[in-house]
Amino acid sequence: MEKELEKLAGEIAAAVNAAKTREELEAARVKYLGKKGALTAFFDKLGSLPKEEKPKAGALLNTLRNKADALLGEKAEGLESCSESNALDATLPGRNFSTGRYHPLTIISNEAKEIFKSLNFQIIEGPEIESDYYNFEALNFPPHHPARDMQNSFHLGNGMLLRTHTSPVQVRTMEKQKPPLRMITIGKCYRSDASDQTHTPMFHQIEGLMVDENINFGDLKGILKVFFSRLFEREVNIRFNPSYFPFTEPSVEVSFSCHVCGGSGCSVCKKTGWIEIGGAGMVDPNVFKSIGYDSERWTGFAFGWGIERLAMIKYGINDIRLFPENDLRFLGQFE
Amino acid sequence: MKLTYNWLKEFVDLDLAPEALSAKFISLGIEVESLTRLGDFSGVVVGLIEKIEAHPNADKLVYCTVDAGKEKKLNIVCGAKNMKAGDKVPVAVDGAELPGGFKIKHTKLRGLLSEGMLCSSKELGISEEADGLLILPSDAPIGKDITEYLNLKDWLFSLEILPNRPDYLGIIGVARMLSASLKIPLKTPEIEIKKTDGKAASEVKVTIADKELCPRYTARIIKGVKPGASPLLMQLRLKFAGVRPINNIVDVTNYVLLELGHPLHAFDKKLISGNHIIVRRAEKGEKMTTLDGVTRELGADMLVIADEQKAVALAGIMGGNNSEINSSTTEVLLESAFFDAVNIRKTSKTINLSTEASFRFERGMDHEGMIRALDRAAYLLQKYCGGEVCEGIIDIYPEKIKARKITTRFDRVRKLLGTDIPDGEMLGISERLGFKMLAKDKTGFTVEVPSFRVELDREIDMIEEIAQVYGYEQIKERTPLISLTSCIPQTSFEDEVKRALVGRGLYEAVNWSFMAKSWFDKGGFPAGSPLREYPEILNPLTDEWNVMRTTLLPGLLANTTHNVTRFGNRNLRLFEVGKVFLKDSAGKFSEHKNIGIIATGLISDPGWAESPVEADLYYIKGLVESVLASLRVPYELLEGYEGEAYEKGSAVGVSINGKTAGCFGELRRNLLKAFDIKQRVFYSKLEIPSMEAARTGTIKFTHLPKFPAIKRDISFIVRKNITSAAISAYIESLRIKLIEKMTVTAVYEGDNVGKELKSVTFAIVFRSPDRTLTDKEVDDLNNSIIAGAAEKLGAVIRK
Repeated sequence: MEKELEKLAGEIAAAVNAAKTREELEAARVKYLGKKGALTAFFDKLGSLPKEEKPKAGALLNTLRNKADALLGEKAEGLESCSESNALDATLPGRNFSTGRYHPLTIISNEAKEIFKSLNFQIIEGPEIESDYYNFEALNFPPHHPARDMQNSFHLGNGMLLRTHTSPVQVRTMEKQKPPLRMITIGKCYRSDASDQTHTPMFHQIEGLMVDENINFGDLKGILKVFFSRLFEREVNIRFNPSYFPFTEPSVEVSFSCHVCGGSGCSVCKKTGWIEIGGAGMVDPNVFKSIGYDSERWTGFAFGWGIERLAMIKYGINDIRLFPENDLRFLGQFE
Repeated sequence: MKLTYNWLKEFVDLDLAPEALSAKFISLGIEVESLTRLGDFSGVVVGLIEKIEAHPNADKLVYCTVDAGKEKKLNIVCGAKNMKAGDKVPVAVDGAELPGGFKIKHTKLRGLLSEGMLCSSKELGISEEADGLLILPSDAPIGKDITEYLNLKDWLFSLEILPNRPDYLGIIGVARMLSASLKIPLKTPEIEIKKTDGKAASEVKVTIADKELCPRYTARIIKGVKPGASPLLMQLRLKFAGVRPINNIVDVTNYVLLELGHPLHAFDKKLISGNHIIVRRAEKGEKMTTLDGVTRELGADMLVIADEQKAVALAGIMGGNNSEINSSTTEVLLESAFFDAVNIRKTSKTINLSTEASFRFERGMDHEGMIRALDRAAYLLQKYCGGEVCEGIIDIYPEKIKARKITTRFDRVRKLLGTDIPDGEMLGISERLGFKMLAKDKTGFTVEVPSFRVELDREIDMIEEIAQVYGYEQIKERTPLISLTSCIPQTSFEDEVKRALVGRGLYEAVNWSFMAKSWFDKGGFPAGSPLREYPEILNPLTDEWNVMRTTLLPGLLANTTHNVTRFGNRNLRLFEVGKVFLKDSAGKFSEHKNIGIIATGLISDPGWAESPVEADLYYIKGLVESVLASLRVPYELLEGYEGEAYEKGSAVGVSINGKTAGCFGELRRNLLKAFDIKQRVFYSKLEIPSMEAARTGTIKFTHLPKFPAIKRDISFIVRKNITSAAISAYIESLRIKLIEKMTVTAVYEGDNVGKELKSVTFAIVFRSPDRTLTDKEVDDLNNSIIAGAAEKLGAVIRK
């Protein structure tokens, strides 16, 4: 019987191997393992064997049946995956992942915050409805001074107005904290200027302030270089041109060397090699005086510019009015 | 301020080309708005209009015969009115090219051939204003090229002057800075007044009645003037600067204003009654007509120049038409005064009139330089208007303005700028800038501030002056040492809120903080709605933005209209985190940071493999609950919440710490209709401060269970008015400790359960913390739930 079983094992293996479809495989299974199958017949004979041969024969039969099952199973798997892959259209698009989007102004703000956090600056918030004192007077804008014309304000009555810049947050922070001090603030500002491609009556500003002993004009240049180089992921140079803000002196207009061409001149920097970004300067002693800081001991710098402008430069957005429109075709691009 | 390159060169020996000069300006903090090459055209010559005839086919056009020095006379159709036969004008002949590339050729205009074009100054790029043909002097040579004749080889700079540099509002101020910075000599303008018999002092008396508002008043008398046109070069330069030429006398005052920066005024002396100038405050309600023809009512805080009977000028702003220079003027009273800057600014703001003069006075003028301006103008009146200048200056100067002194410490300059600029360099710069050295030693120096630098009086001002001339490019960058601080919050709650919403597939919007008051009426909000407690903007740009928003809804709805209705993007899930603003009954303003969420259309991006699911109440509910849970904000939902923006019965309130701090639901159909939205829209509002205040500390880890759970499903067939909350409340009332969790896994309504019934399936998870449960005990518990269901819920259990 051993020899017969060996032969049968070979036949089963050959039949399984030869099966090309599931039907042929099933036919092979029936032929050997079905109720009237060849292997089943041996099991039927088992009962008529002498008692002492039964265990050995039984073990042999079981081994063979397990082997056959395994072979059949393996083959079936192969056939299955084969036939299914024939039915697949892998060119169909994958399933959708409905992912959300941050507004580009948030993306830029977050990047700026990360950079300044890494420089150990605090992030502070302040009110958008401000008093004349915080928006102008404490920042060394005298009443009835033409400098106020640089920032046309929306008035709400009761001496309150919509802040025209984030600089009031500097004053509010210095009132609460003693130097040394490092902070930034990011938020909405309002000026009663008509909208055009580069102006909207509401916009966002980032404002920074650092006060310590021995802070000088060169430190301002250095910190700005670190910031813009990290933000635009390229080492940039900083250029200062004289400017005027009542709350800083010396005051400067800040430009950085073009992050696209590196300063050699391209369409992004209008062939100048420089990109103008905003204002900065050394904190005016009058501001320290109104806070109660000793301007002989403490010196500091402040800077501020538009978040929209940063986003426009970084992403090549040509019209500032796109930001408050919230068109999905616009928002969808900032993943 | 606008000035030309050649004009500037009359004040300083420049050897910089215009482009290089432009760069220099920028490095000095003088912003160059534009640099334009003048005379950027060709083929324009001097022509003589010989004859003007009516155009047979057009009332507004005329037909001119012009001698332009060509073989043949030219016939030119023209629409201007200010010329007469015998005038000389610029003629663009066939083939000419005007600024902007406009080409001139023979053209038929209303049936007549026009062989060229007669030009205005605007068409030649000389002025921005179109004021008829440019009439040339009668001795202009016919046929001569206009760019040569007018000497238009020049460049026009348009400069933006910062408010702290009123000295730059005259060419001489700009020249002075260039001189100091480039170390080149400054040239002073020519003044040579001839001696005459008349004496100013015996002609006119001047009284200053308010020396606070007018600290100094000076005047000269010029007799025998002959009003007429001013020299062509002067007219051109005025036009370049954006000032309209009027007559030679007025033009001289404006010319000197542009050159030296000090405003002057010329009165017809014969119209000053009593030969007495009185500088006084206006009387309340006093009226005067200014040169622009407007009659203005004045206030007691405004300063006027008056004679013995009437006001003749609004001091520092505009003259009166009752003393105006006219064609019969023979004697001129030339005024050069110094007025209080704040007062001029207030008056200018009050009457809403800003002029070249008021713009300068409100920034502060030079109380010494005013004399030179007076002399320069007198000289030019003598030179160009035939005037004879009476001897002497009338100078009423009640209290001499004290010169300001500044002491500067060398080390302080170096410390603040972070440079090693030498002492000598600082001294040199100060002197070149016109500061008078009063004292110096090893530690520093003291200077007297020149009168033309009105805004300087502190050491820091000197530091800035030195830095600007030394050059900001010389400032070396340095990175400061920053001491680390142990406690700085690493994330803000607002950032976490945004992350939670973006993570759930929403897009972030940023909307205007302004809205229209009328929005609430349009949207059908009741008259007493708390949303109407908005702060009003007193000076709005438009009625669309006349109040501050009290809710984030208007912006998000506008985004819905924009995307869904206008651009057919019907699936929209947007949120905004931003402030809303309120004004309480006492008039106090407050600001509150809110979250607004809007959802409409499909709740995930549609695709071939996804079955489309429309946003509904359960979408917005699930979103709000999962966001609150992820932010660890404990909350309760309030059924029967009524919100003004929601469909009746569709809204749910969110209570945080016992206070309603949010809501969600379906927006009213009539509200949506008012904003052209035709599909269902779901909206939620949440208040950030309440959420932040209620949030629990950091995440607390729960140990993983040691023993397995057993799950059982029970389907309750109940009447439709039995809520799922009632079923779970029933199960909870049994106080079965071994229930770990239960969730609704299916809700079925239909034929299989009967018309007024529904089937609600709960999956209940049983687990013990200290042993493995047996099937039998779980079955017993399950049966106890089923047993009471009929009585408590009227439920039948589906098998």
